[in-house]
Formats: sequence, structure tokens, C-alpha cells
Amino acid sequence: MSNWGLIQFVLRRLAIAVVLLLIISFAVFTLLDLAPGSLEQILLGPTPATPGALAAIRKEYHLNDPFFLQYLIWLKGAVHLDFGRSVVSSGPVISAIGGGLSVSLFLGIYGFAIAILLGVPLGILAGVKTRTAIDRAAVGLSVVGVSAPAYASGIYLLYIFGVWLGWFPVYGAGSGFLDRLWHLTLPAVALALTVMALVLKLTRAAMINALDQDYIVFARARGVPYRRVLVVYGLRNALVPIVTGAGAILGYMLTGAVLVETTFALPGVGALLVSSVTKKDIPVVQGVAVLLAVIIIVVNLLTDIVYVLIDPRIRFSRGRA
Amino acid sequence: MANLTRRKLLQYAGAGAAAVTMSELVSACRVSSSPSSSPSSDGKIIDTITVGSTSVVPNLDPYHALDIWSIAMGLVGLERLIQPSDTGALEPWLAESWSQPDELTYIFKIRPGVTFWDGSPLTMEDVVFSLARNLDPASQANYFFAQVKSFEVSGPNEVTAHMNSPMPVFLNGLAYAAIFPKKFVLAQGANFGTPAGKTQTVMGTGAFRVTSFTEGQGITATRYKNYWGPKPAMENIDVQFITDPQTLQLAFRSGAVDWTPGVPVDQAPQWQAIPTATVKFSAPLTSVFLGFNVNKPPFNDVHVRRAVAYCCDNAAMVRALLHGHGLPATTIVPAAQWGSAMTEEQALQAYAKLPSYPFSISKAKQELAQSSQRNGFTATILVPNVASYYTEAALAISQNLKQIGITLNVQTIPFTEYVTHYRLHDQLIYWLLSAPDYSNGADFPLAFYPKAGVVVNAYNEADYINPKVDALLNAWPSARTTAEQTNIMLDVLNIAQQDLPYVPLWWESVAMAIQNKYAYGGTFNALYIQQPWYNRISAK
Repeated sequence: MSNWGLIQFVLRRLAIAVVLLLIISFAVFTLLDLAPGSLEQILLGPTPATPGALAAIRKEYHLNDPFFLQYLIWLKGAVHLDFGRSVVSSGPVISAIGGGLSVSLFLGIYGFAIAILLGVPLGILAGVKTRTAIDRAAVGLSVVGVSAPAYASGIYLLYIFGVWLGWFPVYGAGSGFLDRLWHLTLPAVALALTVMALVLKLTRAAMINALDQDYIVFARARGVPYRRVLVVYGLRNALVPIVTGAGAILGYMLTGAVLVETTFALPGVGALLVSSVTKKDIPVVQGVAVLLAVIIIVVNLLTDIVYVLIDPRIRFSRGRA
Repeated sequence: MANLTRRKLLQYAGAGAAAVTMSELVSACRVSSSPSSSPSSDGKIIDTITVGSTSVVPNLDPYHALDIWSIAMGLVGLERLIQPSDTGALEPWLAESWSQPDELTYIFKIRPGVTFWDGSPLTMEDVVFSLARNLDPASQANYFFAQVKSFEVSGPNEVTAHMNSPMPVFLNGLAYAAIFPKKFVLAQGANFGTPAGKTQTVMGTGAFRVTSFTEGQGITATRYKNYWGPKPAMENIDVQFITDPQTLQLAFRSGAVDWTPGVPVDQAPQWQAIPTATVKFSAPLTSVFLGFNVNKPPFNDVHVRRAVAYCCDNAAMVRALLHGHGLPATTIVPAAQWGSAMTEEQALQAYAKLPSYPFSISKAKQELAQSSQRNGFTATILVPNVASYYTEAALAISQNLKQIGITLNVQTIPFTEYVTHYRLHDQLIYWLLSAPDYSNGADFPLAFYPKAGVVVNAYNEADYINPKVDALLNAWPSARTTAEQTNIMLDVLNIAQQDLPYVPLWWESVAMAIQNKYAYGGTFNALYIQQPWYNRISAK
């Protein structure tokens, strides 16, 4: 793996990312424009409006301009990292997103950690001891976890651990690192449950596949200790599909946790997105859409870099094996 | 429940909406030293009251956010000139008295010795600035100042408002103009009132100083030590936005929330079963009704409208969906909304004399047989997704209509989308709900019946025009006594019940829950959002 190869790789990906962001932001802008509801009504609030007020709002928000020009006005600001002001709160979009992002990042990474730290070892166990009671129990439990909707499992967790046992708070994100850790434990568990089965089964399948290879048999025959065979020969080779799955899961955890956020009253990015789409708060939706796209792109990039670290056969530059 | 529509209000064309009779004008001078809802002076101080808000407050400046929650939660620290009492009478707040020398002039005496949270004194310039900024058409509160010409400082503790034309509910509308310091507002610019965490973006004169306002999360406020008024019973108020009703209930059960005025009325039995909760219900003041476009087929025929009315089993819906926390409606004006003019019982007696359409499928069939839509028809009604029982009720009505040959498709849509449709008057049949603005029976008729309301963005959804009704509504401001005013409105309701542009369904209560260790003084008023509600909460 050469450093120049790595740099070239990252630059190429960044260029693609820019194109992707343009396409996504334009698509979101168009869809929002087509959605029912009108921006003016939201700004005018619940009282009847005079024609003068309507005209003033249409002017301020460029609603009389042609559609493409409205998009370009947004783009010009976005390039300077000025995403405008929320239609609903009048606050800067950046601060709305920033607040949501800090909660969602914490929750997403926490949930991801739980899903991986529980799912991967269980998956390895299930893969090694296929068709035994342990295997069936692990797979069975994880399938129960993934079948229960996040909303339902969230409420159960809340009731048992929050209300009945009183071990964890019932809502909110807390402030300060430890407080946040305490507040976000139940939501992170709820979030992890939704993907646990995926992690477990993916790991299990990858392990079974890896342990089926000839070199495993040969290593055992040579007298390599079982533990070493499992980890160095088995797990290391199973890692590529596991990492692929983990990357996709991390992306989902960071961006798709809206049900958990609503259940636990967490002011995260998912809840912000849903409420701003409902209220047709275009500046916020655009900002959040761009943010989510950036998160997915970064996670995918990191996943690809990790591949190279774990599998020497994968290179960044084309053609060189 | 999401932001319930505030209410549809007065036609800005100034067709003379009066909420004050001549005799009340004369006696409008009031002198008092403190708000009527004073805290209990038992002495036991609560450290923090946590309030569960079922809606996210987007902004604390009424200029930008006039929904129920933003107004109610902002009240902990942002004061107005006037507040309503439980009976709807107007009482002093920052204005210790006021007078109305003529129809177009109001003089307010502002109480001295009031300071903002930073210690700076409240000046008359601040008062005029705070009121006048709502004359800007971009202010959401502009509606309540539609007839105002100007505000001016008229004395060391005096402010005068000049009107372009009479606006009798102007005083009621002052509930939407919070008083801010001019310098601070101008310095903050576009950031004023926005959620910015611990950075201060709002400043008021109230009992509590906002210490943080975090987007999507909550508002914290701590007692302002130099508040001019009586000391509240708590040191801190912590408002938490919990939009999921199940989570709110669990939070209350776990003791994390002390008080919430957002108990969904259809979940009242669950809340009442919580051993640590005291649940209180307001008088049923939110009116829920159907509306028709009376000018277009199929609902332009009164027989069709009556057929629909006969298919609405209001009593059953109140029993099954609201668990009895409401009343089946016979007009669109809740019987409890007449304030000092009539008690609820008196109003119900008066309503008994109005035309009514008690549930009867056979009568519905008879009406339809006489109509221009003998063979039935298909229509779609849009219901906002603010409460599942609205959809359930619409479906129940739809099932009854099926029996007489009418297919009513029920579509539940997000609230913002729903608002767009009723503002545009683009439907044939509407699901309508109206929360009260004040205690006066004229509130809803003035919005839904007059000709001036038949325009886009005004609230005569039915596009209903009846010259007799307009004549009555125009005569109402000059009525000499409250009894005369009331009779005029009852005449309007009589005609409306015959013409049936709207079919009344029910009036529903608002519900609150408080932990048993605290007391909520007095009855729970649906207009709590305009009163310093924190003064009613005390430790037992």
C-alpha cells in the first residue's frame, strides 16, 4: 500500500462526493418543492394573513424567483457553509443541525459499539459452534430483537429499566459526557437491537465461510493451536464482509435513528429531519440532507480504507495486485 | 397533541366585531396591584418544576411563533400588559389600569418599578417598541393589531394606543404582545427569540429568567430575584419537549415530569390510572365541527347538509372517543364560552331552543331523498393527524353515511398540509377545530359566519353568506347591554343551525396532570396559556 496510492484514492473519492452532494441536494430541493404545503403559510403562522404580509414573505424568501434560481441562491450560501435560517425557528440552520448532530453522533456510535461488541462475538460463537443449541439461541434471540420495531422495544426498555427499575432516565439526552452516557444507554440498546441480528448473522456466515477453507484444515493439520487458527486464520479472513456490513450499519445508526429519537425525546438529526420535512422547513431539510450525505460518504470512505489495512490483497490503485 | 390551531379570528376588514359593550367601556378603568392568580404564600419552596410539553417550541418571540406551546411556555418569563381571569374578565399585569376615552383610543397606565432580568428598568419606550413591532405585517401577531394606527408614549408611566377603526377585542389581543427591552431586541437582530442553548437570546420582565433554550430539547428558567410581583413557589422551571405521548406518560410515571397540560383527552383514563397523578380537565372549550362549501355541489343543498348532520352520533363519539371529557355540540360555540354573559347551564338551555339534528339514520335518509343528490355521491374529507380520535370519529361518521348512500373517504394528513387546504378554501367538506381565544360567545361566529371571512386566509371556510347574519353581526358592537349582545349572537346561531354551513360535533376539554405532591390551585382553565400558570402550582 503506497501513500501516493492512498492520497489519489481519497482525492478521487472526494471528487465523486462533491458530485453526489450536488445531485442529492438538488433532488431534495425539487422533491420538497413538489411536496404539499406552502412555505408562506408556515411563516405566517396560525392567524389570518394580509396580502401585504404574504407579499413581504414571498420577497424575502425568493419565492417569486424561478425554481432553478432559488436552488442556486441556496447553493451559493451552502458553499460558504451558510445554510440560511430555519423557517420555523428563525435560528441559523447550522446551530439547529449542530445540536442535533452532537446527540446523533453520540447515540449512533454508542449504539454501533453495542451492536458490534455484542453481535460480533456472538456471531463468531455461532459460526464456530454451528447447529448447536448455542448457535440457535443466539440467532433466535437476535431475530426477536430485529423483528420488534424500535418504537416497541424502546417503550419496553423505558418501562422496565426507566420506570419500574428506575436505573436509567426516561427521556432526554443529558449534558456532559457521563450524564449523556447514562441518558443514551437505553436508546443505544434499542437502536442496537434493530441491527443485532444483521451483525450476528453476517459474522456467523463469514466465519462459517472462512472456517470452511482448505488452509484452515491444513493449519489444524500442522498443529497450529485452535485459538490461533480461529483468530488469525479464521476471523482475519472473515473480516472483509463483516467490515462492509459494519460500515453500512454505522451509516444507518448515524442517520436513521428517528424512531428511537422520538421515543426517547432525543433532539437528534433524525427527529429534526422528520419535523422539518413535515413543516416544509426547506433550509433545514436541505442542510440535514447534505449532512446525512456527508456522513454516509465519510463512513464509506473509512470502510474502504479499513479494507486495505486488514486485507493486503486490496490496493487503492487499479490493476496492481 | 400538535399545535392546535389557534383560532380563527376577526375579519381584518373591520366589520365591527365588538367584545365590549358601552357599559363595559365606561367601567374599563381598573386599578389593581398584582395579578389575580397569586401564588400560595404557604412558604414551602419547590426547587424545580419540570413541565412536559408535547410540542417543540420553535421560538420564544410571538412575532415568530404564535402556537399554543410557544405562548404558554414563554409566559414564565415574558409578560404582557393584560391577562384574562378564569371567567374571561381582563385583569392587570404590566398595565395596572387602562381606560378608553373614546372608541379609537386606549390609555394604559404601566406599573412603575418593573425591571428586566439584567436589572435595567422597563421604560415606556420599551413598551411602545414591543407593541409597535407587531404592526409589521411579517409578525404572526399582526392579526391582533390589524386596526391599530400607532402607539405612543403619553406620560411618564403611560402609553396610548390609537386605532384606525374600532377594534373591541384589541385588549384581548394584547395577550400576544410580550414586552421586551428595545435595545436588547435590536442588538440581537435576527437571533432574538431563537433557540441558542445557553446563549441568551430573549429578555423579559417576568418571574423567571430563561437560562437556556435548546432547539428540540427544552427551556430552563430560574427565578428572577428582583421580580416586581409576588414570589413564585418554585426556584426553577424546566420545560422539556416530549413529543411522543407514550414517552410523556412514562416520564410522568417515573417522576421525571411534574406537570403537563398536554394530556391527550382520549388517553385520560390511562393517566387517571397513574397512582401519583392528579388529572384535571378544563371546561369543554375546543369546538370540533364539520364544514361544507355551501356554494358547490354536492353540499350546496341544505338537505344534503342536514342528512350529514343526522349521521353524526355526537353523544356516542364523546362517550367512546373522549371518554366523556366533552359535550356533544349543538352549535359551534361551546356552552362554556359565554363568560359572564351566561353560565354553561344557561347556555345549554338557550341552545335547546335552536334547531338540532339528533342522530337518526332514518331522518338522514329522508333528507337525502328530498335533496338534489338522491342517488348519493362520493367525497373526501381531510383530517389533520394531530389526534387519532379525529380520524376515528371521521371514520365513524363515514360508516353512518355509507348507510344512506354517501361514500366519504377519510384522509389523514400532516397538520401543515391541512392548514394549507383550509386557508385556501379548496375543499368541499372540512374537518374543523377551533380553540378559544377568549371567553366570549362571539369568538367563533365572528370568524366563521361573516361575509368578510369568505376570502383566502380568512376563516369562513364554508364561504357562507347570509345577509341576515351579516346584519346581526354588524349590529352586535352597538348593542347596549350584555343580554342584548347575547341575544343577537343566539339569533345568529339560530339562523346558522337552519342553514347548517357547519355541523357541530363536540366541544372537548383540555386535560392536565400534576404529581400528587403538588397542588394546582383552582380549576384548570383552557386559557391557561395566557395566564401565569406557574402561580397555581405549589407544594402540598
